[in-house]
Amino acid sequence: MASLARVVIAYLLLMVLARSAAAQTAPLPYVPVVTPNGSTLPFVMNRGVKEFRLTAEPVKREFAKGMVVNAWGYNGSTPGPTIEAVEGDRVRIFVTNKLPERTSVHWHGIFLPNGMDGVAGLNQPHIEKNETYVYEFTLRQNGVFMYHPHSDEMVQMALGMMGFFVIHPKVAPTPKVDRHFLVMLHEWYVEPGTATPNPNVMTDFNLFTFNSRVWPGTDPWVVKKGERVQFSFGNLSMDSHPIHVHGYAFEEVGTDGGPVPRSARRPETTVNVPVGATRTVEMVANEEGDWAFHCHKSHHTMNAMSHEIPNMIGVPQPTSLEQKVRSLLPGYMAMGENGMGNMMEMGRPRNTLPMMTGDGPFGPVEMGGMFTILKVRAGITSYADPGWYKHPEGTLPRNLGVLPSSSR
Amino acid sequence: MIRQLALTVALSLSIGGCASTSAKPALDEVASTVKSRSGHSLRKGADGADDKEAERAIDGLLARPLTADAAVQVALLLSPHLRAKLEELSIARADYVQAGLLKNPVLGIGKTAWDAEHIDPNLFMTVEQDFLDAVTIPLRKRVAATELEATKLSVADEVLALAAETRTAFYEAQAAEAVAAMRALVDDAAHTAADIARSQHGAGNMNDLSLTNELGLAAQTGLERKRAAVASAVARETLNKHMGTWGKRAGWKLAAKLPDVPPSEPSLERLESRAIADRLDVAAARRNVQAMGYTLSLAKTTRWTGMVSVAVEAGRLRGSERISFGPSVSLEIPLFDQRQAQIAKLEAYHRRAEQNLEALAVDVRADVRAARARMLASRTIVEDYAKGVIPLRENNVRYSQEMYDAMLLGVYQLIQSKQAEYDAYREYIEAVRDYWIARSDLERAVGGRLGTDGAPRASTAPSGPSTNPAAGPSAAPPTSSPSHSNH
Ligand SMILES: [Cu+2]
Repeated sequence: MASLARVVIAYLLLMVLARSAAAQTAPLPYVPVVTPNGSTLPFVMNRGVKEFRLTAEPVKREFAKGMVVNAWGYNGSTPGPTIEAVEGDRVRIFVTNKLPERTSVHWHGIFLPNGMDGVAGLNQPHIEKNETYVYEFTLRQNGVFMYHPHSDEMVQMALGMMGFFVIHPKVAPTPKVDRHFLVMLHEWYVEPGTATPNPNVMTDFNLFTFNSRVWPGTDPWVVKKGERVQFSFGNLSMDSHPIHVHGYAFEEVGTDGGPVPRSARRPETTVNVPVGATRTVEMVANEEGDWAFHCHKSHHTMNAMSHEIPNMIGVPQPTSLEQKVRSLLPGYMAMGENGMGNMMEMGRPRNTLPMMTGDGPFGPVEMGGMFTILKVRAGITSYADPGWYKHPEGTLPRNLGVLPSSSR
Repeated sequence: MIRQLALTVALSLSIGGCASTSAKPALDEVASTVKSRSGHSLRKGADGADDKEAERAIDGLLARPLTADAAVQVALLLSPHLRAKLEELSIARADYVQAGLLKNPVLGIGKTAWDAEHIDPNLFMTVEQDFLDAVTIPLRKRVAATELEATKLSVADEVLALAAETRTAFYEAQAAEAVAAMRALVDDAAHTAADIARSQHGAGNMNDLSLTNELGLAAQTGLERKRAAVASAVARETLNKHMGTWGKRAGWKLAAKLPDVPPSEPSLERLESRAIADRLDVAAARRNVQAMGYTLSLAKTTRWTGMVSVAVEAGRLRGSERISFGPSVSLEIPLFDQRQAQIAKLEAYHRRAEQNLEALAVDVRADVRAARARMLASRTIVEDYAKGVIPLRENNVRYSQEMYDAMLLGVYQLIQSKQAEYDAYREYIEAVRDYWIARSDLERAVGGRLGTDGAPRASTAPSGPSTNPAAGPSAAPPTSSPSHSNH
């Protein structure tokens, strides 16, 4: 019986894959977006309507190697797969609820009939467990939007239920954008040693994610030298996140309210992404290298840390004192006297990432959370990770060693 | 008549005269009872005589880390309390010998006075002997022998009581020392935390309030440490009192670790009936009932005879070559005192002895049940600590260390976790101590060691419901029967 069920499921899966593959072999009238560590939701054309299927369900999400979180999401993932369509499309979205509680989907920023807005109780009934609702509307705008629940929203969003909804303009913009990355910003409280985010926490989060991954679990964003690149950031967390690029300046070209007029654009190295909004920035990747790309709130580039441990910076802990503690606790090591770097690979609770971690070609990167690397390379033929940047001769700082005091 | 009298007197004299006043046989008997009940020896030398062997044994036991058995053995060899108690054997033995002695005859010598006017005074002599004293000697000796038996049992019982008290004092002292060590560790940890806090405060990273908090914690653990240290010193002295050690001999060291709770208990069935059968104080109480019975029957036997005194008068009349003898008898006439009061009193004594026996038996049964319940409860508490609290506390330290390493926990919380572990160890030590004391109390209540082999040492006769609490499975005589071999 079970094996028969398995065969049926496999058959259905094959059918779906075949259909979606068939649907997407046709050339798309746009450059598809890239959702790092995520995916784009396949669609099926049904008599002129683009049909998408979303299943709200609990998911296991690996934030980085060594840590798996009991999250909720869509189609096996948090964030949910990116829905991608074109201005003017009619879309039909089937939403099946496989959560342990009721839900709904709100289409954040999208112009649509009021009844399709997804606020449970206000615009529609809640989607009860195992029920499927179908939303259908015509896309009347372009830009980067989001979808998320509007039923027990606090819990469902704290557990990771959110995704992008990208609407491409009817006419491709000029100059052409070669590469468009979508990055959902989120923050979580997963008590060290546990796996389930605590939705009751409002301010004291301890994990900060790009597409529900933390450094070093975040994939690098790979770009070919000279490409015009857009980055869209969505924020459904409790804090704003100033996302900062190294080595470049970009311009803010769009929000979830629509495109920014050219006259209003200005160069920035950091785009502050407010809560409940998207921001799209654009730049031309003309400088090769491994460029850090991260939130500039420094606690947001840390993994789980406590905000209540004693402040030991500059507190002398002589060896004699350390020995005294070690006679009680043999594994003890005085920490924090000279800062917190350099000591991060000691013990820690299970399913807990080091507070700061990750190795680069020159040593520990001592980062976590909302951090990744923009890798710009000339002449690449694939967007697979090209490895560490090889610095041309004379483009690295030189170490002069310890200088005699007179020459300082 | 005269011949018969002389025979009786001679017989009585011979009976009374041969009994030795030495308490050695009684002491040996007590020593062997104690050995079989507790496994420990008493001094061989009676009457406090120098016993080089015992002195060597004491010094040997005290030279090694002291165990419960060693402490008990030292007490049994050395305690002046115990040796004073053993003197009761000599006293009882002397009483027994006394009971076998005839009253001495009374010799009278004089001159007749009323003849003086017309004749020369006649010289005469009388020998007077209490007749009844001579004929009741066997009865009195029976009473005294029974009382001696009771004393032997009672002394052996008190030796076992001292052994049990010493055992308890030992566990108290051993646990108190270990508890003090744990309190010291907790205090060391608190002072280490205080040192770190001072350093943090000095660097400008901790405010006065938080520093006061840390210093206050250390000050309080310091007090606990002092209290535990003095409790340990007092417990040590209590053990010294029980062992009779002082001066150089009080320098003993305790075995560091309390013995583990044995993996299983011997069968704890029928302990009540075993106690009634085995307890020496119960046996002594039975003997006391018996002795009172004998005393009563002696009184009844001599109720009407009262004082009977036989005398022989010898004189020689002046001018006569012959010595004349004149026997005389004096009798008490039970006219006013028919011993009714004395007998009523003795009957009351007898009943009182019976009731004391019954009361003791009720107490013993209750003590057995209470000690058994305490021992079993202590065992589960010890097991709860060993399988639950201790591993949890140890894991708490391990996980706290992990959290500390990941900078998720401060050093103060880490140290507190360790302190909680030490506190759990301390409570575990106290639980183990409670177990051993309860076990010792149970052994005392039962009247012998329990053993750890799971095999009860006791009689296996069935016990049924009984209206007489003193009726053990063997209502027959106590373990040691009176011995007359030394007569
Ligand atoms: Cu941030």
